[in-house]
Amino acid sequence: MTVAPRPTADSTVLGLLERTLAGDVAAERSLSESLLLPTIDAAVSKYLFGRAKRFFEREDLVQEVFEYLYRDHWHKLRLFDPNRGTLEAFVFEVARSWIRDHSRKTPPPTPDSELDEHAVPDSGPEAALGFSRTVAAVLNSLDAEEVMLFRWLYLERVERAEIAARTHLSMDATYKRIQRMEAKVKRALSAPEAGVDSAAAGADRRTAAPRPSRGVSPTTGEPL
Amino acid sequence: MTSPTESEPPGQSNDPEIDAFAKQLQSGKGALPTLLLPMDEAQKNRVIERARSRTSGAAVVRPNVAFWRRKWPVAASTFALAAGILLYIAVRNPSDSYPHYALEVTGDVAVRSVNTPQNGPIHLRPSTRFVARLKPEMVGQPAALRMLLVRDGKAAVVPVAYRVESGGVLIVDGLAKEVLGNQANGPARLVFVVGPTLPPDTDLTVLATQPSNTGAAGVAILHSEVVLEGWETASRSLDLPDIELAGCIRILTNGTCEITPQTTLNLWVPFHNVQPVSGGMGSAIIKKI
Repeated sequence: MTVAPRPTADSTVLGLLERTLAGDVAAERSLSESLLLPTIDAAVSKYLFGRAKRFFEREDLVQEVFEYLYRDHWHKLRLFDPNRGTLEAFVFEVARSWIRDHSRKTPPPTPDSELDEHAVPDSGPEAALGFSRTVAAVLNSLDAEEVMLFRWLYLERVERAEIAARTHLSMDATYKRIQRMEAKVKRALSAPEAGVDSAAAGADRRTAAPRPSRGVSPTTGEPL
Repeated sequence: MTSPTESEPPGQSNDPEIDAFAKQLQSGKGALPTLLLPMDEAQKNRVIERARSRTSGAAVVRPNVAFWRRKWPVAASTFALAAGILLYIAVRNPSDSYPHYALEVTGDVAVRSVNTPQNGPIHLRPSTRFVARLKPEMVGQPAALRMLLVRDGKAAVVPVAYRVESGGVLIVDGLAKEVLGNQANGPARLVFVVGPTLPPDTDLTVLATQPSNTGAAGVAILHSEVVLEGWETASRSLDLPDIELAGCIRILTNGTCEITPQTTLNLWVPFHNVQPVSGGMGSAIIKKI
């Protein structure tokens, strides 16, 4: 196995972070687009899926969390300590904390027939229904970190070395995370019914208390 | 992306089954599949720009001791700049207490060539896509917009629909006919009045008649010279697949455009109407536009 050399600090996410906190606008945009927004978006998407409603709030919630991180010259981001974990895990933790606080203030979800198509067997064409169930099973099987990994790898076609740089993990650790994510997705694809059933059962649980981030080991990629 | 091979351990190449699912996902519709898709570039841009406009971001570097030691020339320049700003504030006209906006108006061009620099008034035909963009120099409180058309020293308020984009940018965007309504041909001046609180229309008409008036009482006043063409002596319809004819000697009630051998007839086809058109007009045949 060939392991790409670790990029230097200036070109990595930590280098971008340093320049962002120093007021570099280009670095700020690059860091936001490559890591901060994908991380927040994954946490928000997973939260909204747990509630199984109000998907239309996605961009608004991402906006709120991003601004929470951004305000007072990135005050929250300045609390990040690279010796205690990865920036990705830190941002996930901030996002989840914000969502946890926010969810207590959110009124109960309202029914929305369009959004219920994956849960109501006779609400649309059979093919669309089947695909929605598959998507629900995949979303249910992955945690927020894996949702982000899936998006990068399979939807945005980000190279593995780039993913390793963004998450500040070794290539070995990145491969292992990818393997775990792929195994979950394949399991969900082969048996979507099981995934949807457990999604319905777990929705309320996740709504009440989003799982706290444990992060991953920078060297092994194993959950902490 | 390649499929896994024997030489590639798991995790190093994309799985074909998941690849197929991803492709299906990208072409799928519905709220749930969309939830699994990443935010697109436009969404990311919106979030970043809104955050910048709403909160104090990272553009300010907090000073520390090392900063003062290493960057005293920068600090000196900053002080000089600040002094200049203070001087400007001190000596500028007190009546200049209105928001400042940059106005950009897009219409037709007088000469249809990409290499010809555009100077002078904006040419507007009924089917011209008219876009006026008013960007504030500084993001402040939300502002309202009124547009007036001034002809022969008389101003009239033209009710317009506009939208507000990130950074407080006000945009009027529509076909000139829809934005301006029925108008006569000839030169005119569009006046945009923008501010948090606008004076009554009767006061606006007075403010708008002075071309040199750029602001008053908390409102910015911006002017744009325009030339309206093809609003009277033209056979026009905004429906597909019609075209506009300009330069007719007269238009008959049945829509016939009368010309002489010396007439220069201009044909105008809106971008969204562009398609092959053929037809007859007297002895002239209009083939493809």
